[in-house]
Amino acid sequence: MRIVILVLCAAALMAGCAPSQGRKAVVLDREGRRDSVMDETTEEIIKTLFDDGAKLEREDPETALKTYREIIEIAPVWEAYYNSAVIYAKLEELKGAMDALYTALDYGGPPVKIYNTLAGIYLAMGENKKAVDAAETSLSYEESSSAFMSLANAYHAAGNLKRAIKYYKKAERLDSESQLLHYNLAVLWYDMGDYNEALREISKIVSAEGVDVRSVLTCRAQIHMRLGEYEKALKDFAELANKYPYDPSPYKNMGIIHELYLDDMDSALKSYTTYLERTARGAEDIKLWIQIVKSRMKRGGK
Amino acid sequence: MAVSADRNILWFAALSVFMLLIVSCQAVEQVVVKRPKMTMEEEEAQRRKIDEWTGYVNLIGNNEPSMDTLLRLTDGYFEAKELLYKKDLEDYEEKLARYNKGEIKVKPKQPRQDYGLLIGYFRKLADRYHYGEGADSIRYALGYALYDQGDIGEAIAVFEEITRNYPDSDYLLEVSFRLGEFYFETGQMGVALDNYKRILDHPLSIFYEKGMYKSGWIHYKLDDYGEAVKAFMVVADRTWEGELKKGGLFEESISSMVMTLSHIKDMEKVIELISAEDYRGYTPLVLTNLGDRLIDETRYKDALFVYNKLPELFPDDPGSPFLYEKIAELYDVYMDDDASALGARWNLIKNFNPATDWYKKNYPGGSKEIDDLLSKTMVDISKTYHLRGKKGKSIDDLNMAIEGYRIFLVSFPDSPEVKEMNLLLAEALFDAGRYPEAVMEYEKSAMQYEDVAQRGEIIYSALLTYEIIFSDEASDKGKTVESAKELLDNYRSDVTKSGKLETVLFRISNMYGKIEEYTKAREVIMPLTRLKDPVPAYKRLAELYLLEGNLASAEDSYLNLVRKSDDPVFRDRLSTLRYKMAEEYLKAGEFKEAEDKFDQSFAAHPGGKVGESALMKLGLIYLKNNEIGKLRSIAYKAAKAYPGSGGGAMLFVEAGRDIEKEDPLKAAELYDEASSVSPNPQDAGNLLLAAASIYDEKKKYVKAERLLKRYVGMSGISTEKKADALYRLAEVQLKMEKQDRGIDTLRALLNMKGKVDKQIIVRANLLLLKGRRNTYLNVKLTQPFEKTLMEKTTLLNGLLKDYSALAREKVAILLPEIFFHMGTALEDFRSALIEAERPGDLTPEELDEYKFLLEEKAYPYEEQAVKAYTRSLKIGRKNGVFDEWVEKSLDRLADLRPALYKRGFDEKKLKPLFIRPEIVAFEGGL
Repeated sequence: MRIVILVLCAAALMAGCAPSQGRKAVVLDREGRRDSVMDETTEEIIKTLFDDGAKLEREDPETALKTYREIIEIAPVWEAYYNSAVIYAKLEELKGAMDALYTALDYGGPPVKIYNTLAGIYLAMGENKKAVDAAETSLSYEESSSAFMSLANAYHAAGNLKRAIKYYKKAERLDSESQLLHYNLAVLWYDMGDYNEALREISKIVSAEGVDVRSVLTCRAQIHMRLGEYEKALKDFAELANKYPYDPSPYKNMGIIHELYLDDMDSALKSYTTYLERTARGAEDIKLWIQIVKSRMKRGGK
Repeated sequence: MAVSADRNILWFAALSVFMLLIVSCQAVEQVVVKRPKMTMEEEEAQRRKIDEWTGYVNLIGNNEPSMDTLLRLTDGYFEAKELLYKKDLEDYEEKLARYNKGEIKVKPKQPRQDYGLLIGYFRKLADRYHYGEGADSIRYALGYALYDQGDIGEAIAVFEEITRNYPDSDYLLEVSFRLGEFYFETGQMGVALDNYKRILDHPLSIFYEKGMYKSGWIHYKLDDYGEAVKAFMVVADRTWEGELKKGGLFEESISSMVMTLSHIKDMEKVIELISAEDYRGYTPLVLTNLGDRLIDETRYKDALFVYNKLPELFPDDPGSPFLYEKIAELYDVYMDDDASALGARWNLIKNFNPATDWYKKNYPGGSKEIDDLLSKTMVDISKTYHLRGKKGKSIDDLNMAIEGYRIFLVSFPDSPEVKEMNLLLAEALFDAGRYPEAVMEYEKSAMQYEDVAQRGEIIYSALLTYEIIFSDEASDKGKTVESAKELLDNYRSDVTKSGKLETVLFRISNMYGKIEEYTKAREVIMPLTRLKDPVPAYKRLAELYLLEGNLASAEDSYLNLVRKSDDPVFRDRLSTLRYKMAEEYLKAGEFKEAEDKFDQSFAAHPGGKVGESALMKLGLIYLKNNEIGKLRSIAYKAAKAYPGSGGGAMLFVEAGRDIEKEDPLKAAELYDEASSVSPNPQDAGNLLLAAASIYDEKKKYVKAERLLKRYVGMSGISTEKKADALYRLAEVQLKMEKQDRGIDTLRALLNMKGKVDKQIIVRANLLLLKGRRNTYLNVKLTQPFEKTLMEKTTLLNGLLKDYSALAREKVAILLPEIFFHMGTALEDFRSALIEAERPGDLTPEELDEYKFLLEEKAYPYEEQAVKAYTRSLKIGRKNGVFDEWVEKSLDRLADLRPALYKRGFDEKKLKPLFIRPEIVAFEGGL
């Protein structure tokens, strides 16, 4: 096995060549030792394949995965292993992702990045202890906001909330603008029952950069419910229903809020009815609630 | 003989006429020369002359006298009579003086001239002698005697006879003059002029000038100023130079001419008159005097016209400078026109200074008088321009001053005022912003002063000027500072004597500093460190090191300063410097060094502002590093050193906030400590409450109680806050199961009813009811049933009554809680009924019946409980507030009426999100 790294061709530089002409991809073996220099044709082919993989990644991840395997056949570069891991993770093939990451590491991949990604994979696998180890290894190479957040996430998932706070704060000191960090802190306070703090944190999110809008809306709606702010919760559920119309949950929640808290039977009826149109889950209960709502309407409810 | 007699008579007459002229014409002050008193011999000699004449007349009786002898003796007679009369007059005046002093009793009698004898005799002769030689002389003598004796009319008749009958008489011109004078005196100007005109036909006569002069006067009196001027000019022409000047009427004619001209309103006409036949040598004098007279008459504009005409007409007049001075004086003294005066004087020094052709021509050998005027004027106007330029910031004026000073220096190089003027020139150049020239003149000036200290002062001025040149962006700064340094080196001992050396060295050092020649800047200052007071020098050295960026050496210098001076400023500077160094260590990531330096910054000036900032910074570093122990020590240090600032408390609070979520109990401790060092009682109170809240939440009730008690005991807190704290204290005490203490606290709170918001009172009552509610809940319906039922019913009614009373207070926010408690009490009663102990002797059928009856009795309580819960929910809906009591009510409703109220939200398990890994690009070959 050989991998490629960049070196500067000193002789070429001294001769006054342009840098692009003087740089050569170097092939390393799996232990990271220099093996040989990649010829220009091979390098061009690999670049083209990487471009293809990037284009396919969103729309057709499986073909993208094949492209990276093809690259590995030509030259086992760490970038190809890493990208394979990313696509495995996306396909929720976590084991495959983890193996690809370790191989990327063998072929000279940057440990900070790879261990950080590994921490995420372990967490997704429920391997919290290993997630903590991976994040700490990443931090041992370089202190970065993302690595601190991975570590905090790992402790959070493991239920060690105090430690989670500590590392989220460290992450915040390095990157106080991170939207993802605000979300994770909001979730942490929510789990700790500090809904006011959770609301303060989620309110800091001003853009969708790096965060999932659905998660943010759901989180905020639930925080509002816990705070007894049902009208605000209703707005968030309505936005969720609007953005994700085939998800029945917001309708059920909206129905309950309308019926019990806002005494608005018309809206409750509509929400429950829409819920039933989306799913049969819990249909018996909902049907009963609809009957009660109708009965309340007859007695003078709205 | 007759000729000699005539001559004698003529001599005597001329003398008399001159006396007459002097009295009538001379404007100049007479100098009376007192003759020595006549001796006895002289008196005797004069009396003999009288006797001779008397003897002769008596001798010849009515015979024909020898005319020659008679006139000769008459001449002696007149002389003797005159002299003796004068002697008598003197004696009379002497006696009168003595009489006036009281030395003699009898008032002396005033003597009178008496020519009676002579007049009588000569009358007779005149009657006899109408023709022939001596007839005019006899009449002249008779007229003279009559005139002298005071018989003026008779005398005039005799004189008129001479002019009428003896036109060829030698006495004609004299008699005409006498007649002219008489008629002039008596205001008969036409007749007087006729008599004078008779004389004017004889230009060689000694009476000519007088006659012309008097005819001028007559024209003047007749307002014929043109003719008058002409007449006076004729006199002046004849008398302004040569023999006639001495005894002539030059001055009188000039004076009269001036007087006459002054009556003419049109000055152009004056010039026309005076220049009728070309100008005379005396014309400038006339015009000058005329100008002076016009000033006396306050006719300043006319005077100015006349003065200004002079240089125009007589540019080479040697008196021109004085004329300019007159013009200037006229401007500034009489016309209040300083600017024109200054202009006139400027023209004076510019046009007549020793370097001009005018001066060389008129005064080739120099003139002290002119030089005095010029030098004084140069000094005065240069200073005036200088002052004006400085005050008005006028470069033009300053440039005039500079030129004035320079003219002086060229004109009078040997004047004792040269050094002063040179210095003033330097000052003016400085004021005009002509700094390089100023420096040169300062140095020149310095060389002229013998006094060392004064020389030093002047060099100091030159050095200050160099500093200004240096500050000019366009200057060659390096060259300037070197020149300044060289100048100082040349005059160092002088500058030292003047006491300015230290200042100068600092200034030169500053200049070197500004061009980043720090080594030279320090070298200049270095000698000053050996002075008795080296503090300023060390201070400057430190500043230079700072400018150079050599913080370590600057720190050494400030340390020296701190050792040598008690001035807290240096401690502050050292503190500031160390603070700056610490910040640089921080930037460089050298945290340990940064900590030490911040600590030293504080140590340099404990109590200083910078020291406090250093402590704060240090505290924040410890906070960041989570070194709470060290932070605590810093916070206490800050609180001790700066008791009024609150910095120490702030550090505790920051630390507490930072760890509150992670370690709330430790945060509470920090808040407690912050409270203990906070200088602001309100902040201290709030911190106590914050700490108490945490302790309460974490069930550390003992600590919470202690802090709340401290809060309640604080002075200066508002009644509302105190009430709130009492409520919280009671709550904590009840949680600690210290019922008595809790109730006492609540009672203290309830005593504040009317002074505090109703809400807190209702809350306190709710808390009090909690005890009774627990008692009620603990009562079970056991046998004997009636007894326990009665007991529980009584308790329930009491509770419901009290809750209802509280509900009637209509504190909206508390209503859900009140109704919830009512609901739970009612629900408990329903449960108690259903679960009531059954009598032991009932059959199974009876037991079923018993149960049925109990359920029937319990149901209304459930209904009432549901109503209470529903009211709680409705109030929540109405107010849009869904607090824990609404939620609890809803929970109970869900339990009691599940179909109506039991609902389940779809809540999702929230999970932290990870940074979604992104694919990477291939970097090889890029």
